Amino acid sequence: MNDNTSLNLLLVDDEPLARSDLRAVLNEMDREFSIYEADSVKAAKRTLKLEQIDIVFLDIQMPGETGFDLLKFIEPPINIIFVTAFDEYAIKAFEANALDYLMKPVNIKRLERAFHKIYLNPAEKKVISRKLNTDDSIFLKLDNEYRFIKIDSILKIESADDYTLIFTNNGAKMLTLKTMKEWESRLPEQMFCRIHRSTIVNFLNVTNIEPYFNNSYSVSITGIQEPVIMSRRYFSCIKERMG
Amino acid sequence: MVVSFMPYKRKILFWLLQIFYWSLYFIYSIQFVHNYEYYLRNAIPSHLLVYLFFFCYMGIPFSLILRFTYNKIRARSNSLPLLIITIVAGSILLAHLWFLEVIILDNIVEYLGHRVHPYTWQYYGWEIFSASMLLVGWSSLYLLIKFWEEWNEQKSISENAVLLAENAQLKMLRYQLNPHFLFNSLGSLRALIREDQDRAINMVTKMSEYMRYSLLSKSHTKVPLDEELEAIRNYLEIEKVRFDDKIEILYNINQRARKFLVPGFILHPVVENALKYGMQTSPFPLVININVTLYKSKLIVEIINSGSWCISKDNSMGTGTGLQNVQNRLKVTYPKTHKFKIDKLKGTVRVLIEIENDEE
Repeated sequence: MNDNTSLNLLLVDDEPLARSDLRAVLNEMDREFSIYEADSVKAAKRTLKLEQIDIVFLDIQMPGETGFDLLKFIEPPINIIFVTAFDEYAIKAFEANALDYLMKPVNIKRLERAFHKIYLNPAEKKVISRKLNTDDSIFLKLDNEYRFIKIDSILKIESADDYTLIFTNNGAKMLTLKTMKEWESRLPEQMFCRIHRSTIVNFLNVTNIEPYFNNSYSVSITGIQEPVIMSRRYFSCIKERMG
Repeated sequence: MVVSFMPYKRKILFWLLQIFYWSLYFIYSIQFVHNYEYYLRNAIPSHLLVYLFFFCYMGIPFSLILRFTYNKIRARSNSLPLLIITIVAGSILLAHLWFLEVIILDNIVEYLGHRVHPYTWQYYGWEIFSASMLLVGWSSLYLLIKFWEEWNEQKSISENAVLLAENAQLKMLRYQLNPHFLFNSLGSLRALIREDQDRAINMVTKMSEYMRYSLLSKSHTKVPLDEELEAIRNYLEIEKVRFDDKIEILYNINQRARKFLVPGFILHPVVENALKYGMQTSPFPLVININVTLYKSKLIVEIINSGSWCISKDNSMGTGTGLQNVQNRLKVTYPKTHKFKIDKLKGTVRVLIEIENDEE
């Protein structure tokens, strides 16, 4: 994508005034767009089929059909920008096509910054993925479906070949395309710790650590039945963080 | 934070103190080692020390028995007199067992070739007394440390409770402020300023009134029902601006009920819920009925919406917590004179609230 081509935007929001406000702000920008509107997930799907959309502005709190239904239809190179009024958990992009997260009423400077990201090449996009906070939510593809996951709901991450399995506090177990290295570099240190070559745990949920065979340790986590094994080389790290 | 290096550390600490206590006794007894020469004839000093060593550290098993007993008793009752009686009786009883062990030890010593002086009543009395005191001392130290630990734990628990209560209050405040609603409305308002200034002006008035009620009304003081209904009306008017012709509201309010005193923000969450879940499940337009009547001294409020009952998947702000909050407050304010009922019917959801004020 380069700066000269006109982008096709799709605004998905069930409130007409919200759409018209966003449209007005977009028009104030110094860029060329074709703007499409959809007042429901159904209408949005139709537009996505008919038009070559570049960016979808999606209100995630839309009543009726959930925005998730639409997410299945938005694959790269289509980008998503979430628009919401308020959320206790800031949503952080974890997927290449989830560009940004805007708050209503949308600030034009924030919008400029969101657009700026689109013109970065994919390699650069990865670099700007910053460390996550403990009260963030992440947007990611799990078991082939997009989901929002609260960072503090993750109990454990396990490697599974080239993938990773994440375990959350509601008992769910999901497969992601992320690698252990990616998780380790982005998860907040005040909550997560690698305890084994193939395991990362949320140590705030650790209830017990006991010596185990071969200088390893057995770690119990609330919400997970089987204790996990910690290798000795990671022991000092977890001890230091847990105080 | 629950960190569990603790039990491990505590075990080590217990045994360190244990060794320390009994070693202190041993070292203290060494100065009297010559007294034992009287009892153990023709023993050389190093043998005496070995004898003394066994004699002193024999207390350890008894202390463990005491610990076991105290933990058992304290798990069942909190009575201090019972504990004191157990300390004294247990210590004297175990002192006798200790003495029995000393006799066995002496027999072994005799077998090894030393002659043991026959016991006297004075010796018996002194041994029982000193052993009892030693065990009472041990018990006191053990229980003091235990009590101190528990007191500390209790302190952190009560500190936590205060924190939780403050948190709940903060949540209620945030709920009344309704940030989601506020920012959505501001967004719509900005659009209206561009498109239809008369409607924008109208919306600003309604928003101000609604926000004033949200911020100034305290959830623990009562307001006339009229004020609560006015806030609900403003709220719904604003939502109507946002959702256009997708909502229809029908009011049916008995004039006599208007002065009835209710806790502020007691009906609002129910209406908000009806709107939120109605929008998700009802065919358009969503119809919300608000019926208020007075029967004798009883206020009867019915809030009915088209659509169906649903449990939301996301647990963000306001979902379900709104109704939960109303229910809890009714329970606190009208422990016996309230009724809260949810009817999940086909195509409609009805919430019924009945309140009776005591003396108003």
